[in-house]
Amino acid sequence: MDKILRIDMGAEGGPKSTETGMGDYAGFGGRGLTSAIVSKEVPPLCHALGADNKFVIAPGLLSGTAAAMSGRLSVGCKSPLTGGIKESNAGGQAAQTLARLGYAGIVLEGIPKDDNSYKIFINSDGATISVDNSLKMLKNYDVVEKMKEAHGDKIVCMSIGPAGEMKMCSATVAVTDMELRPTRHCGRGGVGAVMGSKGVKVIVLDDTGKKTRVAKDDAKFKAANKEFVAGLQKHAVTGEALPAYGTSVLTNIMNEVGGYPTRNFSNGQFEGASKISGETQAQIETERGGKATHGCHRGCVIKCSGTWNDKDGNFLTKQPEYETVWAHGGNCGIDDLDKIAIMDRMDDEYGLDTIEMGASIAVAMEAGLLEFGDADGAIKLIDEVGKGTHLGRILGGGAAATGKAFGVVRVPVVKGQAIPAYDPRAVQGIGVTYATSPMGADHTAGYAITANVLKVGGDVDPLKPDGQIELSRNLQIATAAIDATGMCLFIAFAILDQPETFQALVDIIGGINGTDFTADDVTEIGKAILVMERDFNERAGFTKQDDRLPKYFYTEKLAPHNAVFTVKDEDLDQVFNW
Amino acid sequence: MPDLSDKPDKSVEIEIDPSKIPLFNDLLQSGFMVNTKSGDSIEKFLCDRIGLDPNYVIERIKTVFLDGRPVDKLDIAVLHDGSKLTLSGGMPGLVGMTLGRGSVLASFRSSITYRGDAGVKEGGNASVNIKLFNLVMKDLGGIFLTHGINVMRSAITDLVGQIQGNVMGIKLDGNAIEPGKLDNLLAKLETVDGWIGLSISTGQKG
Repeated sequence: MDKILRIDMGAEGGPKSTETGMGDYAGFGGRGLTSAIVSKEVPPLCHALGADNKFVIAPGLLSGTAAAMSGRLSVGCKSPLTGGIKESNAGGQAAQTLARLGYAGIVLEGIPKDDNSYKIFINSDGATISVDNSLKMLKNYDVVEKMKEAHGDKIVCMSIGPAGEMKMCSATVAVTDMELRPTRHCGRGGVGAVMGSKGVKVIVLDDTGKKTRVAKDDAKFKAANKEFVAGLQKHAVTGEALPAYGTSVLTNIMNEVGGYPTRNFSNGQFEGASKISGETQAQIETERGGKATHGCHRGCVIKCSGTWNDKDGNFLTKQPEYETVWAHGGNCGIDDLDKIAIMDRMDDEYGLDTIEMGASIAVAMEAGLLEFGDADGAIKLIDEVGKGTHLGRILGGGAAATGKAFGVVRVPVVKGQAIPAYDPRAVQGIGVTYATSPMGADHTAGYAITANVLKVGGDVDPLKPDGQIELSRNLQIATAAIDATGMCLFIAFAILDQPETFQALVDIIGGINGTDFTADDVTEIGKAILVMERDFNERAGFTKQDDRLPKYFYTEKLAPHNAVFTVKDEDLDQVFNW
Repeated sequence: MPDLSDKPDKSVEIEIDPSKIPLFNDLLQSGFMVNTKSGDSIEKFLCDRIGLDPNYVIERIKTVFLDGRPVDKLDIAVLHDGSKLTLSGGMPGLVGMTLGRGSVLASFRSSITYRGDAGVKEGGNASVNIKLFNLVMKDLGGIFLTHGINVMRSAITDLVGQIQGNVMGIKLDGNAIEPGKLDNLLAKLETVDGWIGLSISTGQKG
């Protein structure tokens, strides 16, 4: 994984590709590489859909090896939704395949001089860029079917749906899973719009003939990987709860604690929560012949995904994730899992961020376009987005755009990106991360290993509210580092509870590189990434005023705890003070 | 044996195969009532009243809420009449981890953490609402159902309708009845505020 493929989509005479070595980017992977390239090469004040923005795809440092859980892919650019730097992450098969093909990154540059729809095919012979206008405005599943007809079923696809072609700020990049379905998405921040601005409809990867990457210290790597897998499988969260119930296992819990944003963040509890819980979802899936336990990429041993069949037992969509079930469910007052599954499928087809879409629809409900709880109405709105009607283009622009268009005050966004499924008035610490992450409101930005494991900033007293700032800082550092490796963030639970599993991860990284790798190295990687991202955002015009939650979170009490967000601005400004 | 004193006047016993206990999952996650004594700590309730192994409580019941507030120490969190107790396994995600018992991330939710209740009077009878989620629902659902819970009358008639084909027998106050007649009989019963006792038996013929 020692080369970068650069494709100038705006070159004279048509798109041109070159391959280079890693150069200054040696040792970077995943979010580390995407943020390094974007922060160094993209003018922060450029238009996100213009020629100067770059679209960077990067597997993680461990992707393409036999390391368990290492199939996460990073996509980076300047975000058309937030105006800041963006790294958007997905599972699926692309990271493993790209890495085996030897690519640490793909960079799309420039803007095509024509209106064609481009396909990029990459295999062991290199990259071929061709025009295929028969793909224009196809939904993602149809794109994949055509690619299968053309290239066989051993491929992996990264594609945009109509939303990306229409350059909507909610547009995603779809990545195919092990069943060659476009169910995993680089969802947040409108990255699909940037791929669309480059004229690229689909990237097809075929690693036939390529082998798994070998570790430099293979004995160390294998021993560590075995220990790592054992640790994941014996832990109750990664070995039982997630495989059995998926991420929607959080629905009942968040609802019970009063942190489940309901009806556009107007309440912290939803009366229909048990109908759309992970427990109910798993039961129905099993009864209908779907799978409640399923991995999104080869090498995943947690298997938190699943498949949802309709009432007739036919595949409809992948098991909707917690965020999707919340966004289209409780946040819109909807308690029908079948309708939510239909919306999930539509989001996958049109290539839409389920969080942003659910938030936009909830804002539209608050504006009175339709009633909270109107599932059929919500389905019609997603259809409008996919078809690019005038209303659809407003909703597809995201929750902030929808709020502006309809004069809604209560719009739950930070840096323009919709807040996910945890109300920060109930769990204040997540609000610290929402406010300060360079990514905008992001529930995955402050994850993984805690300060007390990494000893970054010393030991933190968990009972003191003040500890939230240090913890958020340390979590963001650790998460950035994990995002660079290609590892799935769900490894965090086993690592937190089981020091031997954390050590196994560190040894895996060391084994791949043939070096001694330590927890301090993890910290340094994470800090470096965050420094680059913060620097880009500052040059893009962001100030500390952008590291805040919407005003109403500070004043509007959230039932049942009647809580408001109380973390002081001056404390938020300390998160990146190290 | 569990100590569930002061049962409601009326009780329903459903005979069912143990493999069909998941049919009660809606009920278990929506909530049911159990009687105990006011002032019982959660630890005492689970280990002494319900009879759970203390190691199970420590190792598996990793997320506990009392009246919607995360609990860190089970021995100082006390139950009273009307308490709402939620039991769950460990949870994924940053926020899921935050809500766990004794979490190192507890500061993230310090504003809603359970801190004790000095006003609870010890000794009187207490009805506690219990919700079981995820792995704990799977582990403990059968235990609570076997020893008896209290539910609203309507919950039982809804339940029988849903599990009809899997019911091997029904007794109302110890007398065997046809499942199809349960609804009418329940409608005519005098109860205390609509509460009925519900328990299951698993295949033992009397």
